[in-house]
Amino acid sequence: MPMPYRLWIAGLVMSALAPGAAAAFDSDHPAALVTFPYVVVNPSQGVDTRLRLVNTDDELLDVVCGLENTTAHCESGARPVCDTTSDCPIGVACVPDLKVSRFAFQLAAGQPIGWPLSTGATLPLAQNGDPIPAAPESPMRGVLRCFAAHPDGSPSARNALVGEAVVERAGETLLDVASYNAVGAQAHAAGLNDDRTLVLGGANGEYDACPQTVSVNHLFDLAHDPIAISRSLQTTLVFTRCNADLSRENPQNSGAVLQFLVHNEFEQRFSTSNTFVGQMVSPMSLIDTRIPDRSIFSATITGTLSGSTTIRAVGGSVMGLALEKRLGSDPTQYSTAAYNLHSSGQPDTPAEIKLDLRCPGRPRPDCRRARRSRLMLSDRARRRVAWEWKRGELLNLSEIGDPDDGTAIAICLYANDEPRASIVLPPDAPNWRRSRDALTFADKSGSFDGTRTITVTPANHGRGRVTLRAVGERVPALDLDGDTAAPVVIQLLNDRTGICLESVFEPDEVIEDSPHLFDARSVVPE
Amino acid sequence: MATHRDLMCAVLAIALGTGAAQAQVSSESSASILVFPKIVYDGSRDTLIQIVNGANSEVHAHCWYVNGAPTFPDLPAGPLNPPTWAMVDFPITLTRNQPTSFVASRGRLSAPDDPACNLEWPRTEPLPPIVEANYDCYGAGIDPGIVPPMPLGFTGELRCVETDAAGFPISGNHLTGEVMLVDAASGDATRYGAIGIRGGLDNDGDGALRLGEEYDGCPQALLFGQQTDGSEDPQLGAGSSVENELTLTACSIDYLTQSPQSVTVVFEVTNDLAQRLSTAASLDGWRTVRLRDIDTIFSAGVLGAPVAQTRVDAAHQSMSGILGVVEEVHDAGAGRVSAAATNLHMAGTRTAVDLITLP
Repeated sequence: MPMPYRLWIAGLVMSALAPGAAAAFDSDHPAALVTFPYVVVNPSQGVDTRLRLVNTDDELLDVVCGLENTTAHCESGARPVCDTTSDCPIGVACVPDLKVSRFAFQLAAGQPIGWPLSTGATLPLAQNGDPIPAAPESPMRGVLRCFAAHPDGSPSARNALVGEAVVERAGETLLDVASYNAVGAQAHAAGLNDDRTLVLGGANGEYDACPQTVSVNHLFDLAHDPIAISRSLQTTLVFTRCNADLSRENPQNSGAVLQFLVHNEFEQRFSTSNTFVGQMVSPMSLIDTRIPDRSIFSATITGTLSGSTTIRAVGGSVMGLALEKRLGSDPTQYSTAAYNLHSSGQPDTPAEIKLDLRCPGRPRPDCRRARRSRLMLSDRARRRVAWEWKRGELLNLSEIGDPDDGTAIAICLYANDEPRASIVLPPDAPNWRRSRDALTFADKSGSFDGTRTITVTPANHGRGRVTLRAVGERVPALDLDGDTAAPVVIQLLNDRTGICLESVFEPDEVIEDSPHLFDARSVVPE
Repeated sequence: MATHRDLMCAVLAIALGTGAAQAQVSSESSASILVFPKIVYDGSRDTLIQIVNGANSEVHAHCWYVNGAPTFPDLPAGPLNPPTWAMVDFPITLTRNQPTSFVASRGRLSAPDDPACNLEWPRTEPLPPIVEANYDCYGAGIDPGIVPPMPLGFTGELRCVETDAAGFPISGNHLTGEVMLVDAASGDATRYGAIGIRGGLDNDGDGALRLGEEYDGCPQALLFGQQTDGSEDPQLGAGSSVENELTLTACSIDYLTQSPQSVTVVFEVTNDLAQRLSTAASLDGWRTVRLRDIDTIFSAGVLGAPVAQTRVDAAHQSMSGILGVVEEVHDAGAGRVSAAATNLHMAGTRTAVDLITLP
């Protein structure tokens, strides 16, 4: 395999020398997006993770976080937690899950906050907002990603966040503390938009790119520590994909193929590869074999104490962490040191973090306008929104994604370019029904912001049609005051395609504007 | 042949491009200067240092240990008890992609006949006479050169500067490093990454390394979040405590005159109620100190909070920036202690030039 190896080396050299290698995707500098690649809680082992997040800026900062629970479960009965299939009954697989829980808070100027993953926390200042939720299950492990945001939840380019995690194992006879810094990606102020997808790297990158390769300097497994000679060494590597989907509670769990290139102190090199889904947490000497002393990550094979391993994700990018353990004769008495990985280069494909669909702070400028529209807003005892978008360009349903198959929909209302109200149907909203020529959402309970019906009817020759009806207390406050600043804009967005639909009502198109009713019709000349 | 030439041109063009953009100092990118701010050999703890050549070619470097232990080790450090500032230097050579490591107390001798790994521990039978025990594989591999051992009581720093074969500094940006601080008795260990300073195109190769011109500039400020000094360990509760030990080193250092660079350091502490307190202290080239020994403002009692962040700035009139690392030390009582080191976050870049003067 000499030729592929040369290409692999050439790739590493190029990536190490490329200007992108100097990009600030690291744990050293304040950033707008920070990731804790490994958070864990396990009460039976006395393990908890204390997370700290600091606003280093001199102004108030909104923060939005997504906790990805990657805990694996046995695919049977009560679905007990497992690490490997050997933890499950015979014939039952251990399957990694992926569940996302989101939370948001505010940090005052210079304010640090800290919380244990196990319990979450009530934040110290009233302005901080809602409590941080506890770990969704216990034991659990996962990834925490947080980004600087504007008050409306849209991403902000303020590179003001730093974070630290302290993973502690404590009990009557135990005390083992390891800490690492959250990995940060700095935002590019000019490139940041509000399309609810954070793009890391690439020509139109909004944040610094995730690295093309990461490398870890380590001591080989099974060697003894030269200082505490009775302790043998074992390093666990943790990897998570740079891509993430924080838009839904149960996103599709994806993985990556990792290529490992190992060097020892004899100038010898070894390589292997492995795959993971969700999050990889594995002792190095179990990456290439189930027998550690046969592993290319063990001192028995490499013959030296010190090693260096470069890791590349095929067709993507990963970030990670190393946990170095010093094991004694008592398997429960070990010491752990956590440390961040080195990184270099930029991958060909930018990484993306998908956020839950929300209405942007201002109307999108590029939406398809219907030739005939009607909007009626009622703020009486029963709030009511009725919108008709008629005779517009909508050729087929795929243009707005597939709302019945995981596409989120948002209806955004603006007055004089200021947000007034929003209705969001999450990607896993039920009650969508597809017929031969239309897609219909019908929900008598109005669970999603009071939405009762949405009908989407594509057609040729600019005769597409969308109608919306939302009624009841769950409809967001419309704040009608009889003096609604025109123009009034209502837009339908989705999180799958870039296409949005809109109606715009100018002042002379308003039929009624009272403290309880807004009614307008719009006709765009052909 | 033309294809090879084109490829070489492309590689060179990309390589030269590195110099154009001065990056920020980082512990995670390969660099031309590595700073290991905290090296300890005090009888209970010892330090394992790891350096890796990330290049696909041989790389040379020259390293300096500097002992920052006070002249009178039993007395507190201060103006009347300055650091010993004893320096020891040595060259190393790493073959392509070679990792190497050495323990501060043991150094590493250039011995081609280092014994191979012998990992059985503890042994049930004595080894044959011709086999030497080497449970830790220590010394196995291509030796990087002779690394001298440090004396008992050493607490200080190590810096390595990438050079060409003749010993002149170059902007190769091939080195990464790590440090493991290990308690020999308990086995408690912690790691941090060497701080890397990347070289640029304008490196004239002389003995005056200008940080901010030839190399990345030192950071304007250092930041770290902390469990406040004297607070309880949240998991262990009553009877436990947490303290933080901060180690700072001046970016500028003069290996020629061997005189430490004095820096006035300003600390600004913000608790989780967003209340701020500040204080100042000085360091003579290098200092490691528990936060509570700097000022009471770092204590949980004064801050009234279990969590805080500290911003550390070199005072405006100081002639040098600073780098550092922090260790959070948890004490459960009855001798159960565990420490966790992390690199400090770095904000901004100094406009002033810091100088590393080589002999």
